[in-house]
Amino acid sequence: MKAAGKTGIWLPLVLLPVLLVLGVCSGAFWLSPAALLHFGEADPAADPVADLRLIRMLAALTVGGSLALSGMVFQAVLRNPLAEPFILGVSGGAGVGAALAIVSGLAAYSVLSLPLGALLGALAALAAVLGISRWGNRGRENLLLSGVITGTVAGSILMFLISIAHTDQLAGITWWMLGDLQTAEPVLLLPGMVLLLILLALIWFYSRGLNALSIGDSEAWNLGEDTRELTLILVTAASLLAAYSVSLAGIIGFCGLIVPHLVRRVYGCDHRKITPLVFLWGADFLMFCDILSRLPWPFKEIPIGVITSLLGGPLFLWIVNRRKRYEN
Amino acid sequence: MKIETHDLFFSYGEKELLRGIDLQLEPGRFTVLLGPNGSGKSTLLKLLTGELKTDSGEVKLDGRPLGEYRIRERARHVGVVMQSAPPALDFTVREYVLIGRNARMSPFAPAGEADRAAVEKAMKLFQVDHLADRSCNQLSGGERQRTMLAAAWALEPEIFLLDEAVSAVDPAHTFAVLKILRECAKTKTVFMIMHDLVLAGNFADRTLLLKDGRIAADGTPGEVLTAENLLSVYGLHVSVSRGPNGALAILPGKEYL
Repeated sequence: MKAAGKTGIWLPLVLLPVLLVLGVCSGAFWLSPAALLHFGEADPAADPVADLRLIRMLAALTVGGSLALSGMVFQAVLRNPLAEPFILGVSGGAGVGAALAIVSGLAAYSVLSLPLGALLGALAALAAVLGISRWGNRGRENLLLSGVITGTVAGSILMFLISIAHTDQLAGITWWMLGDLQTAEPVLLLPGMVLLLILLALIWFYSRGLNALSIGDSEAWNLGEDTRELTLILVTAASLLAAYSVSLAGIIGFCGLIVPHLVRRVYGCDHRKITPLVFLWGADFLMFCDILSRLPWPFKEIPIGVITSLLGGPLFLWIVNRRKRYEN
Repeated sequence: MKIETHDLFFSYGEKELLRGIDLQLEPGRFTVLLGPNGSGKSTLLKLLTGELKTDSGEVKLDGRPLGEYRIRERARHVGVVMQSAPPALDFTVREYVLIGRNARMSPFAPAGEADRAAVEKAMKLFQVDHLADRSCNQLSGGERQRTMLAAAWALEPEIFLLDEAVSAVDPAHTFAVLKILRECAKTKTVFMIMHDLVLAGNFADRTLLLKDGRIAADGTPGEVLTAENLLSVYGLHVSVSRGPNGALAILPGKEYL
């Protein structure tokens, strides 16, 4: 299984453009790659559709990579393989922040208020989660519970915001809860991609520290890390990634759980090695899920959050059971 | 490289745990610290690594106050094994031992030839090389402690600070590990916390007893591990004698039998 380590980087890398093209071609109706490049008969309807699909695939790439990286960092820093922005309630907090930006009317002035609101919401949720579980050695098991509590509270706040929202704001908020790439704001996409690349580089730079931190706070100190500073940097980076994803595509669960977990199974746990892999596979995974969601199903399309949760729920259970067996 | 403390005080909240520790640790002698549970042994070790800050007094590394060192620089000199929980992620033994070398590796470069060689050598020395690709979570307690020792060894530090690093290791491997450490102590500073009086008595060059936040006894095992000292420090009744090959024997007193 570990043999995949040497050649493995190429597979997700090659998959990236393949899925991108496939994603632009497939959907409610097929656009042949030849038509996209204007070979032969030009179809006047093709271009705008292709543009929409391209934006959507780029959003999937960005959000998938971000969520997977975010999950990876949370799992290592919080020393819990089940930690993930959705399960930790961080995505829910970001959703509330973004929804507040809409309801308050700020979003009408500047779309940038969405990611800003999402970030503040994400950090508030994270503070709440850590506060409830009382950060410390005992707190790690409680972490997931407080995450669920925070996520639920965030969900009900979101409901409340929906109930008081104007009708014209309503649609904008509702899709947050489902997770949807369709309405990804093109204006936000480019900064999101830049941010993702910067944070990817940052996390990779600190990847050895991430290894150390995943063993323990004292151990990380002994290994030469400024534990508090490093934790702060990494948790902020992970929250930023989660928050930006939410402002682009709403709450998409489990992507941050599935991808890092499978990557670790195949490539090992050394973050120096897997950080770029987690990013690439995260991008591939969500693009693949998006292509699935847009297949010409008999009933409209399936929201992408539904697909990731359908895949992620069972995996979550499986990891929990496996860990139980370790402990016995 | 020397590590020393001068008039060290430390308290957790109201409780004064360490009260005036003067300690010099240097290459040449394998030093073992003993003392009852909660006497502050692990706290003292955390003060030596700088993880905890002293209330008063100071720790000096190679003659320079510990606080003047950059965290990474200090970590390059000091290899530490603590009583750690198993890692949350499924690191293999080889990955785990490599992490021990973190302080020597640049964030911009992958592990180099020297790093890999040090890891393989350390795994071999502590006899965990056959477990190299096994997950740390599937090891027994003793195998995990040997892996942690290998990780500290792979760093190639000047100073080893070890907190109960062989408490779960079987006797054959324990003897092997302690022999390695005693040999290593000839040129490097090796400081180890342990509870086993017989092991300390026979492998250490120097033993320290910690009681009520002070060092109650300091000297060779023969001088320190006497029936009187053990009675006053632990409230323990033992008879101390020499075996036929000169080994120190510490046996339970008749009170327990």
